[in-house]
Amino acid sequence: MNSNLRKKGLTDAQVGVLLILPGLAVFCAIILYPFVNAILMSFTDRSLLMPNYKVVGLENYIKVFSDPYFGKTLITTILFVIGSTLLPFTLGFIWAIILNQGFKGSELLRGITLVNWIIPGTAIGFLWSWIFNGQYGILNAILTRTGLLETGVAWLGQTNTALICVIIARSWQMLPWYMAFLLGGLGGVPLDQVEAARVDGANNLQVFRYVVLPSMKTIILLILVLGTIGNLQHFDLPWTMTQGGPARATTTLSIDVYTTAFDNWNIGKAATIGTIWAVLLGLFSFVYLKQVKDSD
Amino acid sequence: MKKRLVAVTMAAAMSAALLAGCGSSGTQTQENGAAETSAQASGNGEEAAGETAASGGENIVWAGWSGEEEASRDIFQRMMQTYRDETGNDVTWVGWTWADTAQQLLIRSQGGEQLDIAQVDIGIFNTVQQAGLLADLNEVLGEDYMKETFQQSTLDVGNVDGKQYGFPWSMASISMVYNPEILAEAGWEEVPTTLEEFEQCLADIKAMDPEIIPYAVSTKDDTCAGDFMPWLWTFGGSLYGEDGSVTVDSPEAVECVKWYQDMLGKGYIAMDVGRGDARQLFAQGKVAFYDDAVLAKGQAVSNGVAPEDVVNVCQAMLRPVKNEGDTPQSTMWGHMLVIFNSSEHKEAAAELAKTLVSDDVALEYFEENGMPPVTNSAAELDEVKNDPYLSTFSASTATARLEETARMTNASEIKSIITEELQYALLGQKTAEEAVAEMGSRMNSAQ
Repeated sequence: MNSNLRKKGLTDAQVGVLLILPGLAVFCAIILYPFVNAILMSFTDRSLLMPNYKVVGLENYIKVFSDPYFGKTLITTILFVIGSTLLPFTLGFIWAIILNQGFKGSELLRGITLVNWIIPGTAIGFLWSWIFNGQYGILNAILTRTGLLETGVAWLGQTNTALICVIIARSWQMLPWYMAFLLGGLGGVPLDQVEAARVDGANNLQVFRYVVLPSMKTIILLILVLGTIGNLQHFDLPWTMTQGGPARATTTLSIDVYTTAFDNWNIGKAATIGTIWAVLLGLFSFVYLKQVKDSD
Repeated sequence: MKKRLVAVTMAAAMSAALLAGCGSSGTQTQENGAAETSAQASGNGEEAAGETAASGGENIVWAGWSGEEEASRDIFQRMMQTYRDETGNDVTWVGWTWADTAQQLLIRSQGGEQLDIAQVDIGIFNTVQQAGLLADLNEVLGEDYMKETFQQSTLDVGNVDGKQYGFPWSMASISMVYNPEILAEAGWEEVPTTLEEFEQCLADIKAMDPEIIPYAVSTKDDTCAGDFMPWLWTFGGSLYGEDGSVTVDSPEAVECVKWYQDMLGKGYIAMDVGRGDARQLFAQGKVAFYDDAVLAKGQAVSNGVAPEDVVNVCQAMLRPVKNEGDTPQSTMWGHMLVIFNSSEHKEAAAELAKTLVSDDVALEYFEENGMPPVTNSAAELDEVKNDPYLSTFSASTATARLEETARMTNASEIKSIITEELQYALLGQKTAEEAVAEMGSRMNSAQ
């Protein structure tokens, strides 16, 4: 088609523009326009209850940054992101190394492991809510019947345990995703280097540290970037398990945006929090992607 | 050159069409919806509504949440069938969960999708009314019809500044329900009437069976603030004064929060319990008391209690008072029907409302789901008048008050503040004094 267009007198640049135009239009319609619109809304007092709204300048930003609970939300978000990225990453790596040994049944185990990732987030949320339920949860049943606890604990009703419970549920959901990527990465580790290291007397830990990790640096950074971004955006599990409670202990930025927009009907303020959230997301992405680029 | 121009123009048109398609989706949805022929409503999810029903009548869209619930799905189907049979019109049900209903009504309205009539509760009513979406029913149905059909007190719930936006459907109060079998086992043949008796009763139940939650007052989600309000009133406090100023930062509120803390410390109440949890645990015999509306009995049945046994394990009671002679507190509860300003089928929607409150349909709804009828004629039916369960709710309704946030645009925000601060106090992260002071401060900022 390119040669046909060139024969009709179009330059390479003009052909290029024509080719990217549909994609650019889709990008503008479904990403750029809503994004710019959200930023513009953050400077208004737009509410779902009123069709009319006015520009209020930086008022929403001042309100958000002067709200002492917003700082707590930021900290909760960061804790959730760190926990929900590093825990499944670590467990996924261990599991990938085990499955990479190629023992009988490892392929079946790999398939079974992926089931967690296929289940919808809300279903996982309800599943773990039942496990952690303070009244009829299976965790309390096990701990009290084995004598480890005298009485049941409201795991999702305590500020010091609720976030951990949500992180555990998220880790369970995402472990297969990390495992799949890391298993692929492990397959690419040069075996001759591993054997050479062993000949030189390296033990398992040294092989892992000095051969496997450097070989997988790019893929590790990539999945950590993607995992961080995914967890920064994540909404389903904290919402279905705790709705951000108790006492805001699991209120992340995604939940704050949702409740501000659809409980308080304050679209302007929700857009403000969303914009701050997007900036944070952009910063994380930039830093990590720069590292990936540098490592190449 | 000409061909090149055509190619570029075509590409630009395609791009513009993509953008335009995205921008006008709301309008298009409405037009498409109006053009489609209505299917018979099945009660599951959204179905396209058309201007004209298969029989030649009009086709209206009815939205809400009860038709999605297991306990009332079948009877909603029968209600709609009655309407079809009586009027020749068709009706399409669009449903969500209760928690999503206000948001979905707003979004659907602003998106220009067909919406003629909706089921709302008092909180949702306030939200959609403030958004200016509702039609004045005095104009649609006539003031005379409204006044002849309903008591003024029920009309008042849906009346704002003299305009009748709400059509009463089922009204009572949120009071307390209890399990008589558990109380009897704990040595209580009569329900406690004062706080002192109530606490003793909770202690006896806890001593009898530590696995039972004596009182499943809500300590999470929106229902937490709803349960807190009547207890605050019981202690003599309030969220707002008559002039609208925030008055929650008071010794009465501190006393109330301390009472909550004390009950949690003694194991009489539990964290991480919402209305849904309370209903399930109550049906399993693991809760002695909890707060609920008149539909508690139906909820117990849908959660596993045999219909013939429900009277033995679910009875209503008045909320205990602080001092003998005080008025038992409860909050007004009710379902109303609203008709939308944007509806092109207001008359047909009004016919559905009339069908739903007709004696036969209302009585069936009452007998099957415990929803009390509100029309003057249905309230006089023997089956309604002689029901002992309903009579307790009726006594409670006589002094019931609207939630103090009921007429506020940011009711949900205020309730979140109350819930969060109460949780801080219950979890020991703030003292009762600090939590109440912060509650007041945040409510002031939210005004």
